[in-house]
Amino acid sequence: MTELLDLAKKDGRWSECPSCSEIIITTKLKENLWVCSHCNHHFRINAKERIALLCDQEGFIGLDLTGQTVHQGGVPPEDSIRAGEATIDGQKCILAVMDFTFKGGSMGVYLGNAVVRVFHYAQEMKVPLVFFTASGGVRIQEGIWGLLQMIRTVHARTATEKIPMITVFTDPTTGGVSASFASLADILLAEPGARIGFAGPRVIEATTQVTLPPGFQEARTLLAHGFLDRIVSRHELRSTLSSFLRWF
Amino acid sequence: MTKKTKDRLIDVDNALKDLRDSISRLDVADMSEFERKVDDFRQEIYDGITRWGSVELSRYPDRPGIDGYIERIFESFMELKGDRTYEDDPAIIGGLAFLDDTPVVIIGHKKHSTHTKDYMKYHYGMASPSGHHKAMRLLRLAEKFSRPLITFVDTPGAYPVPEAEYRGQAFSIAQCIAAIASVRAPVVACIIGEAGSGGALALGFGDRIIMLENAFYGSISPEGFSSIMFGDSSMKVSAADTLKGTGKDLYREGIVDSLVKEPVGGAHNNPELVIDEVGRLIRHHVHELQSLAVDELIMQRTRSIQSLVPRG
Ligand SMILES: [Zn+2]
Repeated sequence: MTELLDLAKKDGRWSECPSCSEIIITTKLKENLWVCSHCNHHFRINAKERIALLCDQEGFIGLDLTGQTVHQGGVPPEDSIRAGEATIDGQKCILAVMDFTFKGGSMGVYLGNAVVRVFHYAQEMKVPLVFFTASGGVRIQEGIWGLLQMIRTVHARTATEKIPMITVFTDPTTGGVSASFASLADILLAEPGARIGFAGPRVIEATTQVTLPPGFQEARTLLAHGFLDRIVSRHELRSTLSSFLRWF
Repeated sequence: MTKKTKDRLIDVDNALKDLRDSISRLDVADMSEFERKVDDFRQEIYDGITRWGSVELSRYPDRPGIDGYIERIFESFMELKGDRTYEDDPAIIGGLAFLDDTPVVIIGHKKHSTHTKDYMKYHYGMASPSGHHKAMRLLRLAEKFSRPLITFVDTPGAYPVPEAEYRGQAFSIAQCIAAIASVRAPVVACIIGEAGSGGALALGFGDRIIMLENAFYGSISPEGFSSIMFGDSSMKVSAADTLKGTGKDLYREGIVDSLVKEPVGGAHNNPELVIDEVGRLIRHHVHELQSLAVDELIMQRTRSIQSLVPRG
C-alpha cells in the first residue's frame, strides 16, 4: 500500500499536505485552490497558478519586465516574477506575482529591475498595483548588488506613492523583500500561515539561545502586532481584492 | 598614500632588507621559508591585505567607532534620545552638532564606547526597530530645519532577537530606507566598519558615500555566506572574495564616492589620521551638496539610486 502511495505521489496524482500529512488527490487539491481541505494549509503555488486562480477569464495581459523588446529565445532570463494588466473580479489593476519556485524568489539585479518596471507601468497606466510577494531574501550570490536592489525598489515605491498599492504576503516573505518595497504598500494582506519576517529563525535561535514559540513570524502574529490589515484565505482573495480595488 | 604611511613602508622595507642580509650571512640551510614570509608580508603591504583580512579589521575591537568620529570632527554634540513611541535604542546614537559653523544632524551605529568595550550594552551596534524609528525622527529634524545629515555605519546587521521581529524589524528598515531616499536635506553616509545587510542599508546610503578601505559592506557576512552555500563557515575566506564588499571593491564599482586609505595594519594604528581624512571629506561633500537647490539634490539622488546596477 505504501509503495502504491509513493508511486501515486511521485507521478503527481496524489499530494501530501506538509502541515497535516493528509494524502489528497491532486485534482481535488487544485479544485480547492491548493488549500488542504482537512487543515486549511495553503500550499505554496507558482506565479502561473496564482495568476490563473486570481484573474477573470482572459483577464491577464503579460507585461515585459526585461526592458528588451527582443530577448534570446523569446523568454525572459529569469522566471522570478510575472506581471501584467489584470482584471480581478471585474476590477482593473497591475498584478505582479513573485515566484518562490525560482531560486527561492531571491532578489538580485534582474528582480530589482523588474520591480522598478512594475511601479513605472502602474504609474503610466494610472491603475492600482497588487503585489504578491514570496521571497527568501536578497540573492547573496550577487554580493552587494542584491542588497542595493532594496534601495532601488524602495525608491521606486516612494517615487510612485500616489499609486494605490496592495501587498499580499505569501509564504515565505523574508529579508530583503519584507524590508523593502513590499511593506510600503497602502494595504497589507497575507495568506493564512504565511511566514513574514526579517531575520531567519535559525539566526535568531543561534543568537539568543531561545526556542521560538509556535506562530513566530506567522501572519496571525503579525496581525496581532499591528503589521497587517487582514489575513485573507485563498478562497476570499478575489472578492477581497476587488472590493479594495473598487474603493481606490 | 600619505607621506607618513609611505615613510613607514620604507622603514619596514629597510628593516626587512637588513634582516635578510644578516640571516644570509649566517649558515642557515633553508632560507626559503623566511623568503616566503618576507614576500607575503611585502605583498600584504603593497597590494593591500586580503578581503578576509579587511573583514577582520572591520570588526577589530580597537577600530575607531562613532564616538571617536563625533568627538574629533564635530563641535558641541548634543545627543538626542528615544524613538518617541517606545524606547531608546542603545545601538543607535544620534543628535545635533556643528560641523565648523554648520549645524548638522548625526545618526549612526554605536558598537561600543571609546573607553569601555561595552558591546553587550550597545547590542553590538545592531539596531532594533526603535533604533530605526529614532533615526527617522532625527531625519525629520534635519529636513524640517534644512540641516545636512551625516550618518555613520558600523553594524553586523539588524538586531536578530524575537522582540525586534514582534516590533516589525522588516517594516522599520523599509521605512528608514524610504525616509533617507526621500529626505529633502543633503545626506552624507560614512561606512566606517562592518556594514551588514538591511541593518546597514537603513543608514548606509546618501547623496555622497564615504567608505574606509577595510570597511566591509555586504548582504551577508562571509561566514553566513559560507554556511548557506557549503554548510559551515569554513569557506569564509573565499566567500569574502565572492562578496567583494571592501571599500576598494565598492569604490571600483562606483558605488561609493570617496575611499579613505587606512594606515598599514588598519585604522586603529592611526585613528586621528583616518578620522581627520573622513572629516575633510565630509566638509568637502557637505559644502558641495549645500550649493544645490533641494529639487536638484533630489533629482541627482534619484539618478544615483536608480543607477545602482552593475555596469556593462
Ligand atoms: Zn492539511
